[in-house]
Amino acid sequence: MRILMIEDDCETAAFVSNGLRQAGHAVDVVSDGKDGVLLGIQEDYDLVILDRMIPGLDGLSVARTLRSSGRNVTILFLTALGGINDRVQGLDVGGDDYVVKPFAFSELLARVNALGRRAPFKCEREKLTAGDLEMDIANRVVTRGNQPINLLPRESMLLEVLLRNKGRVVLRTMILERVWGFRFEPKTSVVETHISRLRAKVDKPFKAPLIHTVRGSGYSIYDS
Amino acid sequence: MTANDCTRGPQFKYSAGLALLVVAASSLVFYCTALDSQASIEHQILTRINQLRDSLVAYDTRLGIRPLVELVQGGAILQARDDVFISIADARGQPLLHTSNDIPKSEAWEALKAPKGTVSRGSGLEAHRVFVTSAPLSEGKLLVGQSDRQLLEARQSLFIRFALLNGAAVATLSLLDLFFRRRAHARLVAMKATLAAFNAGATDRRVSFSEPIDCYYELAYAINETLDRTQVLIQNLNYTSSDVAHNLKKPLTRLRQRLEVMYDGDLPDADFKCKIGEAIEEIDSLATKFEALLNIGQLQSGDHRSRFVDVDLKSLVTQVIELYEPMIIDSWQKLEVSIPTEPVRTVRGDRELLMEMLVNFIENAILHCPPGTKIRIALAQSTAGITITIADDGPGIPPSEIENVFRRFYRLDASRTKPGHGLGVPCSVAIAELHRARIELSDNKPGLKVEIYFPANSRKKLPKLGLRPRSGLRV
Repeated sequence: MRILMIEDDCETAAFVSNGLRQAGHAVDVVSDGKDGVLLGIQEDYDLVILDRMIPGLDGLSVARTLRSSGRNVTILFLTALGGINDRVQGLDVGGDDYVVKPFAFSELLARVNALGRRAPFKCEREKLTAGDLEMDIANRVVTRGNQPINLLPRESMLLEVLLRNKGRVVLRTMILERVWGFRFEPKTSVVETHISRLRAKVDKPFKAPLIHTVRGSGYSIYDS
Repeated sequence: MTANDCTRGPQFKYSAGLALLVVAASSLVFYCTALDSQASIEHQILTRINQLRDSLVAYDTRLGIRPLVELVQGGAILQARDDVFISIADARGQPLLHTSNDIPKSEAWEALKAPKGTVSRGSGLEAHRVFVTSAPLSEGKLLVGQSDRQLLEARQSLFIRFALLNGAAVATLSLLDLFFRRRAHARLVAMKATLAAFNAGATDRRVSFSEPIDCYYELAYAINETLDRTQVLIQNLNYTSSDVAHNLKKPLTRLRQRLEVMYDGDLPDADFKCKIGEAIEEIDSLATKFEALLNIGQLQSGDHRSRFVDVDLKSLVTQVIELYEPMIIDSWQKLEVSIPTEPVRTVRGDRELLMEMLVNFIENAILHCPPGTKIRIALAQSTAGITITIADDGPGIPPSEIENVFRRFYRLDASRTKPGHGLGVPCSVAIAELHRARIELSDNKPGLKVEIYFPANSRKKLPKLGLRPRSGLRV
């Protein structure tokens, strides 16, 4: 993905851009809001990672300007302003996701990857696969090695979220957001419980497991 | 404002009562005066006709009946439009003179036989009485009479003038009263609307109306002063949030990044790596506490109300249960659910915040109760409101500690081995208060019972005190 990062803190900018480059993304960094807008409009970026408190033009105004310019760019706010009203403001001006500082790089990367995969979601006749697991999105039919698997509606949604991010990490918080519409960090292992139920149906009766735990952050589905 | 608004409340009843009292009192005074004038009219008429009779008899005695008839016919005695009439008959009873066109002479002479020489004539508004008196003459008989019609008419016109005057006075007073009451009501409505808007998040709204300066104006001024101060406090809170973000979270971010780079690098010492991991967790915990504290402040400011929508609590509770049921079963706890089959009224609110509040109490029950505990989640609605109950038969909270858990950073688990920052309940209370709901914690005997109460009428106050019940506060 081609990413523009607008961040005035050099250390954070270097930390994030290095990490993203290592993950295979092309990253440009600017530290001023006005420069960010100019570059964002001139160049064709897939994603803009935007701080809110930046010199020149604040992050909210940058997002608003980019949106009104008609550029079809995804915006992820990466900011220290993490209050409920701050998040709402960020999403109101057209932000697609909101990550609050301090953050774990693995979380940021997972969210960046998930945003990059959003565009082709709309095809309804789509079939999602991982190894010999197949999911017919329109008919909600799941099979593994031609053997049908009966899933409850939420289990099916959970599997869909994993499959749509095949090979990438899906964070626990992302699962809660996408499957249940919750936006908070649970104190309990509630997500693990649902994953283990899904595993019991999708992985347990078969030889090779497809759903893998990514230490400390989330889950990923891939054919090992 | 509708007319109905003005006729509501005690003020209108007092004004209407006062007007009725004034009308009743003046009518009573008028009635007494009228009764008095009735007697005085009677006396006046009798005196006049008796005096006239005596002087005519004296005239007859001196000059005889013929000159008397001529005198009366000459018009010197009676005036035009006078109600007095004279009738003279000769010794044989043949009429010589009768001056009234209105009262026939036979009727006049007949009246002498009535008690007190008085007869009533006409009906309705035309009703009046005729008074007669008679005396023998030298060669005949004299009758003097008078009707009280003119005097009654005079009294009637007086009564009409009185009624018109009274009506005009009452109407003027009512109009004035209505004008002042409308203005007072408009001012109260303006104040109420401003306070409601302020509470809903429009913190720059103020009460404003022009002169005259009255007690409502003074009250509005006091309200505006309070709102100014509250707005400054809310702004300070937002600045604090921004200050914390700038001055504390940015360095924390850098610190975390450096530790993360070290953690992901080649570290020969496993113990050292573990310590770095712990330091990162500490930073995350610190950041979570900052976030929770700032969030409580932002929730308390009420700004978020402007984003409220209708939320179906039944579907919300069902969804939370669906999320947590497997977890409760896997923790070897039992779940009991009670949700009404009929639709539940919606409440104005933020779905995600309400969900966070419910999850907080359900997760507390799961985390703090041993296997075998029964957790009951119930939703009930009545005309008074909607109640969500999360109760368990676990270890519970000692009654003396219940008030403490509403305090920030207070933790029952002194060893702090269970996850949490001591901000869960204060944050839930802030969410409840934002929704004008109330959280009550009580002894479930055994265990803890959490009740989240959404009153149907959030404006309902405690009797007498005029206060709204609030979570964790004893009034």
